Amino acid sequence: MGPHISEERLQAIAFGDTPALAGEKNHFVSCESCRRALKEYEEAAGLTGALAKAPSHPLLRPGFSGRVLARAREEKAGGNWIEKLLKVARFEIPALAAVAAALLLLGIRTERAGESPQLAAAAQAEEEMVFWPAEETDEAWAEWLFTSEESDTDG
Amino acid sequence: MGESPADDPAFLARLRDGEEAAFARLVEDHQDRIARFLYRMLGPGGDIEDAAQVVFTKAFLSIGSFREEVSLESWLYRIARNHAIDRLRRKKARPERTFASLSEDEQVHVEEHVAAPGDDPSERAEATERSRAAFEALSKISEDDRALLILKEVEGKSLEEISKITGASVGALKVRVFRARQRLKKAAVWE
Repeated sequence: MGPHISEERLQAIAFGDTPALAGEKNHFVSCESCRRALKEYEEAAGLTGALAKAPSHPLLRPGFSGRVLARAREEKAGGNWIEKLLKVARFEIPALAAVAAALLLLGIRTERAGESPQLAAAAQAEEEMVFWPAEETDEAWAEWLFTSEESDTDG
Repeated sequence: MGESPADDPAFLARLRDGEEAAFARLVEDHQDRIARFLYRMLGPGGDIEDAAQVVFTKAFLSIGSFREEVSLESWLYRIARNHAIDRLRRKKARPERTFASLSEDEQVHVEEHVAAPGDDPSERAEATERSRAAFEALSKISEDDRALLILKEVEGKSLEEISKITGASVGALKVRVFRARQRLKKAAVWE
């Protein structure tokens, strides 16, 4: 019986790329497996063959080229409008971005320069504020604790 | 195709200048072939008139991008193939394009027109059945595979021509055809 026929060869024979060789024909007679595989491929090839005949009717109505030209003119007009918009956007958007960046930079600088001296002094004082008693003595701690409790309960 | 001047440089220059008469000639030379291809891609329920209009309108609007490395016909096929694939994907037409899912009118339309006129009734019925089975099987494989098999097996294009249409190399196409045929066989067997 010999080795089985490769799938590439089965396809080529079924789809009519090349005819079956004499040895292959003999093999199909004796090999049920290859014969069945060939038949399946022939069915697939037959499907594409059926489509080659379809359709038999005209698909387009008369005057098709006129309708295409009308549609193309319409789309071209619409396309020009979009094109103009894009052209404007190409110049406008980078310019707007540059202006926005400049304003942002200016805003940051203004904010820094605009800090009031009073606020700056208060912030400095807060940083330097001593929260603990100046001396590590019992009296100092008692006094600190007393004043803290007073302030916590004030109001 | 008739005496199409499609690849004549003077004709191409007229197309690029936007001369409508030249474009109308291009459309008339290729409209039937492109419409048939779209019909085979989209199936009996597809709006072929609209799809073909889109293809030629795209060609008209983008003629400036046409390069002479391929013929105008291959270029039109490329636009048609891409548009058909987009259309199938966008509308998710695969599950909808089974014969059984067509409206009654569409089924009658297929049955009336698929077989060649003049066939005897039994031949006609057989041709209708085969065509139905073909659309059914093709609807089960990917849009890319479908386009490839239609170009190769139905339109009879060589791998070199398909390479110009799809942009894939001939070597890659050989492998893709092999696999697409395997998938079609499977789709036909399990139908």
